[in-house]
Amino acid sequence: MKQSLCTITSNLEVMPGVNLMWLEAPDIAATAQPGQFVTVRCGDLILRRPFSIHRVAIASQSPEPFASCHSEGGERPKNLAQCKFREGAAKQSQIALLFRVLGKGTLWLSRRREGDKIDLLGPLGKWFSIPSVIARCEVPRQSRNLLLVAGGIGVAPLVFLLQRALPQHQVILIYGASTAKELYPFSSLPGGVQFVPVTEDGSRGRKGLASDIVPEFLDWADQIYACGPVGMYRAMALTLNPSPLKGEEKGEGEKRSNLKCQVSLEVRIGCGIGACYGCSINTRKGLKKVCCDGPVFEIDDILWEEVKI
Amino acid sequence: MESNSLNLGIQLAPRHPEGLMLDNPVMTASGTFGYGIEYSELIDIQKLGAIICKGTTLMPRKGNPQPRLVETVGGLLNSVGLENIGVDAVIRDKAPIWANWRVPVIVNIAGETIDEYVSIAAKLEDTPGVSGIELNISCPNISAGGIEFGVTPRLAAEVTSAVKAVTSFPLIVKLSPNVTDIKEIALAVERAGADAISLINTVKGMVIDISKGESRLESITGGLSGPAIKPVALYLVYEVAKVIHIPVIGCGGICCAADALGFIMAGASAVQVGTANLTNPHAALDVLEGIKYFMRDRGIQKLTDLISVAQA
Ligand SMILES: Cc1cc2nc3c(=O)[nH]c(=O)nc-3n(C[C@H](O)[C@H](O)[C@H](O)COP(=O)(O)OP(=O)(O)OC[C@H]3O[C@@H](n4cnc5c(N)ncnc54)[C@H](O)[C@@H]3O)c2cc1C
Ligand SMILES: Cc1cc2nc3c(=O)[nH]c(=O)nc-3n(C[C@H](O)[C@H](O)[C@H](O)COP(=O)(O)O)c2cc1C
Ligand code: FES
Repeated sequence: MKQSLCTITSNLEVMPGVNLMWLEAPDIAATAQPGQFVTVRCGDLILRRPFSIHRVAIASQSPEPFASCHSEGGERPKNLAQCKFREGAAKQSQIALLFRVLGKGTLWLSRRREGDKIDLLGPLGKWFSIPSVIARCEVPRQSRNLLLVAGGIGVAPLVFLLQRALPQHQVILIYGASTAKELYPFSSLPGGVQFVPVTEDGSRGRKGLASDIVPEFLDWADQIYACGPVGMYRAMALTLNPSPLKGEEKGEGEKRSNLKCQVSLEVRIGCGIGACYGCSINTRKGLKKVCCDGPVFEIDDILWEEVKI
Repeated sequence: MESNSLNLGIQLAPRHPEGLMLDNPVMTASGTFGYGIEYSELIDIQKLGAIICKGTTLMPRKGNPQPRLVETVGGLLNSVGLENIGVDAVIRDKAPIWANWRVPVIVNIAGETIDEYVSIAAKLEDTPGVSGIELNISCPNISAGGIEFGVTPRLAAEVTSAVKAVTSFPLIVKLSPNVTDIKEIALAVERAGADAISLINTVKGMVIDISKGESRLESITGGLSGPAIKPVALYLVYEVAKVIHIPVIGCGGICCAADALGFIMAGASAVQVGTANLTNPHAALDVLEGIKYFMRDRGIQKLTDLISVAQA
């Protein structure tokens, strides 16, 4: 964890209202794990804004497992910015943030230009645990198939997870967005990733919500990782634990499925380092600080009425 | 003492037999700096004048439901609700770490009855690693029908003298701005034995989400902090410093050295940096560096020469 001024190497709108920003951040890149986040000081605002680490590019290494970045059918050439690092320009390790412009802070951030320096603090929080990464050994058979479920901008940390998990794991990414235009440009995902788009208006892939089709993959999946709105988690919790015994309608029933599902929670972050108690939530395992005990939690531990922004 | 002969030292408890000497006047405010340990990876906390830890109660507290934080123009509204690990865990888990530090740690305490305050102070007595106690009297007193200790001179004095009777630590009393006449309360706690007074705690406030027609904080109201409250805090420090004879510690919206120097000139002997730590973990150390720069620039050798220069 470090506070540093980082130089922006690119900042472009890659989907409507969503920017991809690459930054020289060697200290963060060196230690970051998927699911961790950084906070950014945005202009005169009092609270730093939290963003998941979307991707990492280590300077001395061969390209991360995203073979190329050709935009699909020649559209959206802007996402070529993703290639910037791999084009060999950067001498320092970089991280990428993917952020939706929502309010003052993200608007300020969207207006920063290449060469500007911004104040970053990170990497913060606990990460998604991937069995192989922890054990540093052969991936046990029973945890080889990873199901990733992204709702909207929730795709941000899952791309980093994908990046790390790919060599050893089979990955399916279910990605829900409101419409085709809002889908992250996954034009050339490396082998092993199956990309299942879901749009609310049916303009690409299946029609509906990401959580709607999760049940179809439960037999295949060994582990589930999700990032998206609370509504999506709630629906998933119901799918995973549809016990009629208690808390059924809240998705808090007794556990029936043995699948481990990790989700990344969002609450308002103050300090980001466990000092201010601004982010605490009550869970089945007691009080937890989202910024340092999370943001990644097991879905079974969450009491849904506690999670409000 | 700095090698270049700047003297930033300040005696915070001149009436106390052992005193509470700080190397410099820049402290971190309760609730924004955890137990100090959280920040030790980010900044050199040993350079601080003192650290005030999170408000500590007799039993652990869960605090309020989410959302607890709302940003306002130039400010932060919080309703953390005193979530903390309780005094026993502070003594067991935190104080032993503090005992190895050079920087003094002052424990901020809060209670709902006078007995609770007394019990916390009694438990802290003689704990290595603790250098003082700061009484947060902005809590509702359940035995007095839920009215805050800090809003009447009588209750404020009662809790001060009760704690003073059981502690040998220097005692700072932290005043609430949500009162009609803060001078009366300051005088009452000074008479009751306080060694120093800190002010201000947060200013009561709220924010409505008009799309939902309800407060943005789950517990409806909160405490406002940050630059938005600085002029209020500065005025109250100025008023209190006029009438009392023990040191005043200024707090409220301090983000930079200029802010801190303003408080010192208004009559504060030391300052606390709160919300600014969240915006920038280096804020308190930046304040300290800026004060040194100002003193060198102006040829001022002793910080104490700056205290109250703006008092009429
Ligand atoms: C751990 C974590 C990781 C995140 N990762 C990403 C990401 O990768 N990409 C992305 O686009 N967004 C991410 N977010 C959400 C992002 O932080 C908010 O969208 C952003 O702070 C909004 O700031 P703003 O000033 O533009 O909006 P504001 O005008 O402040 O508010 C708009 C809305 O944003 C939310 N918000 C505001 N402040 C915060 C805060 N300090 N913490 C959390 N939510 C807040 C609230 O719902 C608010 O109603 C993440 C949040 C968390 C907690
Ligand atoms: C998140 C948060 C938590 C706080 N918790 C406490 C507390 O536990 N005890 C206390 O006396 N003051 C607490 N305060 C008040 C601060 O110590 C300080 O008095 C106030 O915020 C004004 O200073 P500032 O504007 O520099 O933050 C808290 C403030 C904030 C923002
Ligand atoms: S944001 Fe401060 S404790 Fe989590």
